[in-house]
Amino acid sequence: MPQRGRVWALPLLFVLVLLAMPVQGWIMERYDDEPYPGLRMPQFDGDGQDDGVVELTVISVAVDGHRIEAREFQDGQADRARRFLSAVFPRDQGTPRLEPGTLALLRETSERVLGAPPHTMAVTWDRRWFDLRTGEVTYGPVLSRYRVDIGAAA
Amino acid sequence: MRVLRSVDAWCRRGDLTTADLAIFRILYGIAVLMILPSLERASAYPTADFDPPLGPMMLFDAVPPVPVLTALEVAIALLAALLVIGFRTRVVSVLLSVGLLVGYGFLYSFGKIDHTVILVFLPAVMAFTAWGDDLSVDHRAPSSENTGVAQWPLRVLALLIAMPIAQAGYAKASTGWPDLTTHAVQGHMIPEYFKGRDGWLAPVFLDLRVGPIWEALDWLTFIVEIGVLVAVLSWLAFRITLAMMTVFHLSVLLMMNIAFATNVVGYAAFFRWGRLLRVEPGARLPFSPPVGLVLAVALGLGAYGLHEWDAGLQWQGQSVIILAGGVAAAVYLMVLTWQSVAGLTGRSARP
Repeated sequence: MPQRGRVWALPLLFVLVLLAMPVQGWIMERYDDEPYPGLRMPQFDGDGQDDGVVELTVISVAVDGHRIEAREFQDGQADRARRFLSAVFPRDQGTPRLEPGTLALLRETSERVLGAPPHTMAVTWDRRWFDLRTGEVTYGPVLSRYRVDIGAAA
Repeated sequence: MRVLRSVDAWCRRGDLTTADLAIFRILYGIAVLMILPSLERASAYPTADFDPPLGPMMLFDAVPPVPVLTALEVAIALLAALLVIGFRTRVVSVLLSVGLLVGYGFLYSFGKIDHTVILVFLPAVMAFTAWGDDLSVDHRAPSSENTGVAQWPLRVLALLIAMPIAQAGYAKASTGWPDLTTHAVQGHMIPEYFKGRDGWLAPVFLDLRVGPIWEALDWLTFIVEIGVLVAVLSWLAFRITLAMMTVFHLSVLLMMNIAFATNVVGYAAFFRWGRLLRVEPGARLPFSPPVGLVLAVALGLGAYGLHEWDAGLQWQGQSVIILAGGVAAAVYLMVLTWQSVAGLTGRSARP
């Protein structure tokens, strides 16, 4: 701990702390990756639109015909849930990646939400456009569609 | 040399007491217990997707087995509870930072980093303060040796919090947010709504098409975010800006359903809780150390059990922290405004 008398110690510490941001910026530039841990906050940079229109990629989840909010699959955390579900059910076609741990989470969450053992899960990714001036939603193509059995554990 | 002395004096300047820091320590520990991360969720991802971010998590080849994740989660809960009662505060603070770093690290090893870093590094920085001296098992009676409270770690913490916020503000200001013809907050709010963040006041803002309101939100956002770094120079300015940021986080919760509670927890480090709650420096816990330890174990295990029982409590905990912080910050700003007005008109400065 800096003691009184060493007048240079705290200024030096503060210079080092201040240098952390440019050093982190250099690392991100050099490795094209965000370090963890790092001094970073959500950016929300850019205006998120193109000529007043916002492009959306929407996921819909239904189990045995009942709609379930995607966020339920990661304890209410919407972003993390999208990341998880896009890892399991790729947005641009592909094969569902159902490992034992994945199936267990899908099954447990569905049963908790529906109150009954689940059987079939349907997942759809589709494209939409939202016009900020009118509030009108234009529906685009279905990007991918999955139907999997998440029934009784093996 | 004069410049060095001025900077040194500025680093040491501050009015937080051991009581303020002790109350914050308790609030921080309770907050961690309220938003305990569900580490077992990391084991549900496809194993091939494990891709740790640049940094110490690269030491791991895969997510550990579920029992290890469970043990880590229990350890974090117990450390947070030990921090609440102030048991071996310095060691526990550092261990909690390490535990949170690794725990969150597993969750962030699948392509997305949530920016909870303030919660992670805060106890390690606060370990250099006297936040374990009061209301703790470690209680140290005020003496001639420990009369002064080191304020410089709080200056360091202030910088660590302000720099990334200001960087995010600059990123906004330099990528179109000041453009009067586009409304960036609206442009970012709509995708959040369609991600399922459609609660609270989101439906109201979905239908809001009043350009000046959206543009005002754009400007307020990046000005306050950049202003946080400038405000570090003065404790009063920093507190006012943090209170404004807390109200900002509340509005983000209500509008976009994004609960960024970890920042709000960090902001609380800089407020004079002792004065608010009338706790004097030197205050002791109302129970003996052995009873405190038993209570801490019960608190830690109880919090873990509650989160196991209902993992949704994490989201609710985040919302409660932001709602409580937002209300407290709004009251703080109103009191300051009242005091300023009363000062100008010559009335009593105390509402």
